[in-house]
Amino acid sequence: MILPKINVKRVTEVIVKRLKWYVFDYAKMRSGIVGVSGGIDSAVTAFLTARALGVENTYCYLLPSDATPQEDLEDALSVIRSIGLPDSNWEIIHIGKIIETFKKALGEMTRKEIGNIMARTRMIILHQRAARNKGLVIGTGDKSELLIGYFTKFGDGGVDLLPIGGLYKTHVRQLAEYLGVQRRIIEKPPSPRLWPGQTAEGEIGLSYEIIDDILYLRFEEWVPEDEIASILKVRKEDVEKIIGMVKRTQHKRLPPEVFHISFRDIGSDWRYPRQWF
Amino acid sequence: MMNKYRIALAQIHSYLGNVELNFKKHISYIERAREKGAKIIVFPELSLTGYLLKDLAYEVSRKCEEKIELLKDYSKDICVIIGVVEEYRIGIYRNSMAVLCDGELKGYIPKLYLPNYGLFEEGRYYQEGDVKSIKVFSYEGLNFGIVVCEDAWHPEPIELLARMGADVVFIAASSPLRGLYGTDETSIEKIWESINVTRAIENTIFIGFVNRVGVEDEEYFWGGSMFVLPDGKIAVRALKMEEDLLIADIDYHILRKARRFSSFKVFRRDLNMRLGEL
Repeated sequence: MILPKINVKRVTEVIVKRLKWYVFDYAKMRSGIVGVSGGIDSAVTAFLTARALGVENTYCYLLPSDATPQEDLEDALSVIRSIGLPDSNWEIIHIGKIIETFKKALGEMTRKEIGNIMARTRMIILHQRAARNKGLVIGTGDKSELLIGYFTKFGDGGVDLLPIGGLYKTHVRQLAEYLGVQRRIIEKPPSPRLWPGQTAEGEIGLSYEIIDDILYLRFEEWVPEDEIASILKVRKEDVEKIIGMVKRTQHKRLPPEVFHISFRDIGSDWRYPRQWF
Repeated sequence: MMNKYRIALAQIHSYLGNVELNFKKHISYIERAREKGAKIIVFPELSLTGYLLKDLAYEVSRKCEEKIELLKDYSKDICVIIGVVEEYRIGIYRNSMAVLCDGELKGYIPKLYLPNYGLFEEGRYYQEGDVKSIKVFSYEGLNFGIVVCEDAWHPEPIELLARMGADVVFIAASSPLRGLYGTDETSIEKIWESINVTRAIENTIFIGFVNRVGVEDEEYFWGGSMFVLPDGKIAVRALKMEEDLLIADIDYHILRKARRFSSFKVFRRDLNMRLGEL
């Protein structure tokens, strides 16, 4: 791969310090809430959250649907065990019944529509548990997913902060090794599990090794789109596809557009820092 | 002139826009530096306000002025150098360092090169300082100058200070951490070390680099303040990623010795004139 490896020790230090500061000092909250799926992103996020806030201030929720394989549930439970969360700090909430209620109320839906409802249902549950535990919802999205828009707006995208949002998927694998995440989780093909058999790389049509190199070359190294295919020895259409996904999903990474009317509206001329004391 | 002179570099985490809280932190660091016998304490760039102020930059200067008034009392037996937003003229702001000695405000040193690339957008908010604002201060026998962050990335501000008589130049910085790739230090840390060492050697002066530390919005300032001797050796280093008060002793003998083995005293006016014509 062309993408350089990360300095895992330093990255861990930075993320842990920032998480601690953001939750306790800035937001003045008491805990971090993580939805643990059995996948690599949520495993790494849960490990980091527990390290930053302490196991007593980390709450993990397993939110399986009818599309969740047993293997994922087992892997999610192994994450909970590895972290050493007290029993009071984790829960399994099956969302199958909630989804059935939606189906009855809303009529026939495509699998994508149902998938988005699942992601948003999980978001609602995590925020409710966050309110109960005076916590923030710690997002699990990585940089690759965020850039290509491979997430549900207001679903898994509906979080308070994204501690691993600066790490490409292949970086998350590297970090997972360092943190001691179970090998089965690291090697499992990434999937949002919104329907049976769904895998991210199958759906996108490219491996994350290729996706990450394309994203890195285009956006960190500023290599023109037409040169990337020859550097990586991949098809030009594949590069166009990934860059096209980034462009089309820009709206998912930004707050909703506000139409400017007055002299100063929310948007480009509303330049206040997030940490506005 | 005494042979040793102690200075302090205050590597602090400032709260963005919260001048009140930052002021309290400044006081505590000044007290600590005084207890350790330092004659000068230098804070990082925009230490009283935080760095990534964005539109808050327009509204913190008055509070800075109030705190500077209060800090005069704390500067009676120690020289205090702090980072502020200065309202230079009505509605015209500068990213400056305020110098307080002997209970008085001795002046402001504005940043000359305002970065406007990547995450930086200083040109939107601040006016760049002019060459007349470059000056050398003298406190209890030590001649020193100050530059702000980006000014050290260009050779001429520090060279000018050195030729005007500064034996020490303090670089007040707000450098965020980027590119955590590889197993070694990041490129920004290596670049800063190279700059500090180079400026010390090329001008045969001491360099006191004081960087911010901690979180501001998306950024994390890495700290790593250092004191570099005129021969390029790094005498002391502060912690990385944590607040720290770095104490350094200036030994004039080291300076004297370094200048006997340096070509800094040679100044090619013709080369500099040619540069000025380009």
